[in-house]
Amino acid sequence: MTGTGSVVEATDLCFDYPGQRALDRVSFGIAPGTITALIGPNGAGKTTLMRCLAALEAPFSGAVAVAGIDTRRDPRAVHRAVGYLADEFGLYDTLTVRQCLLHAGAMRGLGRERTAAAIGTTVQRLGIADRLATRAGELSRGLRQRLAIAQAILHDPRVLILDEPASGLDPEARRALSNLLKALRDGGMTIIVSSHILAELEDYSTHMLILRDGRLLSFQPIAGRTASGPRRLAIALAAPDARLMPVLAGQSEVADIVMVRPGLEASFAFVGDASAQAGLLRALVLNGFPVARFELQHEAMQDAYLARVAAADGPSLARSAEPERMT
Amino acid sequence: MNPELRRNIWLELSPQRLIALPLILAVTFALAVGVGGKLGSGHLAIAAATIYWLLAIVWGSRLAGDAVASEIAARTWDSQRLTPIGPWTMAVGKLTGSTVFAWLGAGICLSAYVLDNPERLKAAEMAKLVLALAVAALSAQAFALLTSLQVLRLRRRGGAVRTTAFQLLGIMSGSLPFVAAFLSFPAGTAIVNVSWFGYAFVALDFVLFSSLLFLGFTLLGIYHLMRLELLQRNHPWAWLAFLAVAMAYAAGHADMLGRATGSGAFPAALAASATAALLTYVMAFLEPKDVVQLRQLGQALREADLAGVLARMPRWGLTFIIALGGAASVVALAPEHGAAGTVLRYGQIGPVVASACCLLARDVALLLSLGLDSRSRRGEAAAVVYLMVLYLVLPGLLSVVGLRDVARLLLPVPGWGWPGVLAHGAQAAAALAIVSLAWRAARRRAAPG
Repeated sequence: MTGTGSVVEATDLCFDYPGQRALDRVSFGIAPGTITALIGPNGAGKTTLMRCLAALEAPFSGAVAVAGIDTRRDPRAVHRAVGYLADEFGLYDTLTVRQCLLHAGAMRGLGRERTAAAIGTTVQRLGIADRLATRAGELSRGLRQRLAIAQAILHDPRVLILDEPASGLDPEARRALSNLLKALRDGGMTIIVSSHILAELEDYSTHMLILRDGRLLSFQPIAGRTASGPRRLAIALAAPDARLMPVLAGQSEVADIVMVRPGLEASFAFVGDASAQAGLLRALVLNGFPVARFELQHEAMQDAYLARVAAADGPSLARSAEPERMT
Repeated sequence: MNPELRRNIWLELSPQRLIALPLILAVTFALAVGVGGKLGSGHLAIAAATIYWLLAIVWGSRLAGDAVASEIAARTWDSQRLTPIGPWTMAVGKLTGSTVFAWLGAGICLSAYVLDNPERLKAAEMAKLVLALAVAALSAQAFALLTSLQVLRLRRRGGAVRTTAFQLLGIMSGSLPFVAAFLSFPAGTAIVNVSWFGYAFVALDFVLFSSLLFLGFTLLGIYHLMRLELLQRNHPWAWLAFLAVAMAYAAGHADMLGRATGSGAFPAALAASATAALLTYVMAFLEPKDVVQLRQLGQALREADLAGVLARMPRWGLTFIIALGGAASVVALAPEHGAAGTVLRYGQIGPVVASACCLLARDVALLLSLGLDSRSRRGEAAAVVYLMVLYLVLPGLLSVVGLRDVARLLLPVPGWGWPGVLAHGAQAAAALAIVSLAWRAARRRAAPG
């Protein structure tokens, strides 16, 4: 589950609190440019894992490397590479938004000019450009969240770690957060997000890392969310065609075909890239199939989560492992 | 500019405050001059020195002791820890930034004192006095910050942090050199001398030297604790250097007694080892003693990771070993016989010192066993209660019911001789057995595998 191309890598990570092991031999590797949803019930070790990844806590044993830097050997270098927003974050309420960001830039050692440029870009991105003169304490919950994220990404970190970032946000603010995370990912940032609310992770996560009782239950890509690797496609015809199944089965990139309505509608795993996908559609149309729908089939987070838990435990235990506030 | 200092300037030095504070001080000082009738009468100096003490030492200690504690409470500390700012920059920023407004007022007070100059001090002497007062205030603030950082390491995972305690410690550590600086100027001349290892020093010079020395170690302590906050490792050399200096400092003062009574280096050795014993208690109370810390030390030992061992070696353990060495030197340097021919070294002093070592081991073991219990969030407070019972309540009760000799078995006092050492040793052994049980219980609770 680990890889040399990983930007975040945990190897046999153990973390102990007095009287309790919070993380038990957790190993994984997160590829650059992905968004990993960190899921698990309360007390699973999500926040502890995030704090270890951000080099805010030193592991008891094992290792964590971020951007190739060991968190125990050089935690300060890891801090340069990471942006972190805690579940319950604080702001300097009596400072203005501009002062908060100037302070964040100075603490990050950005220098005056780089800080000014970063503030300009970040406030535009977060939609708080019109609030620069407002005191942080006077902002709404959603705007405070945006300011906190702005502080976390001001130095353009390679890895952004967000613990329950949408907690307490209204639907509009959640949508804005989702768009922001996708934009950051598209810009090359690697993002790790924890949440109890799977619906909010649904929109942007490419991978799902499930923790339970401090152990890694599963770390896999979510089908249909990654640019490479297996994705699931769905096809529907305007009129039934008995050749659909054999033609699909004859394609080298296609596997695991499920006929939803025989001769009319199917879903299948597809291992090719976007151009291969376009090639398949062209071949089907040239073969005379009346294609009415041909699309990427997103795997529902909830289903994916339950499937992973069930695979680890057996179906009877899957329900008991659901995050408590899952929606 | 230090970013933390700049943030605090934004927060603390608002235009209203910049106008109000000098105005209030000016009115107060004008009233003081009015009461005295003229400048130089001493009234202005008294008012200035008093307000300086209140602003720089009492309030400054509060602000410095609260500097990091308030960040933790406001949940902003983690975002500061995540920045690549260095521990020294962070330490300086916290210390100077949190107290910047207090220093503004303190600066005005010092200027007023210099203006009044009731003792008619020469410029060089006044400069020394002002430096001593500034160092006293800085010592108070730095000590409050140091203790807050140390206690926050204990309380991070539970338990309340009371800034008042740090403030009181700061006030104590700053008031001592503050008062000593003024006492060094009787009748306007620095004539009082201090003897240290037989050398005579002008009192103010010695106060200034001592304050600077301990301020330096306090700042070093803050730097080291800040390194730990930023997840960096420390080696014990700074602590060992402080321990050596503290022991020498105490020994230097006690040496005068040895010269006066003809008892040689015995009082100096006694003072030095008592200092080590006291610091063992201080660190045993203030350092985290949970099972995770000790298991990490054990792991470093197993892996022969010297740097890891040095970083994780508890300072109370190192200090305890040095205190034991000091105790041995006390016995070795003790006079063999007393004035009436009594056997002092091995008859009276030896057993008392051995008993003291046994009781020190017992008390440290008690603290350790409480620290290992993860269910107890107030192990140190419980230890204070137990120690009060052992040293005050039980001996007092036994004495009241006429069992004064039995009460001596709980205290490191002469009376029982070497048989008493056996009783004290048995207490230490029992406490160590409790530590062993607590360790096993903590291991069982702690981790699988």
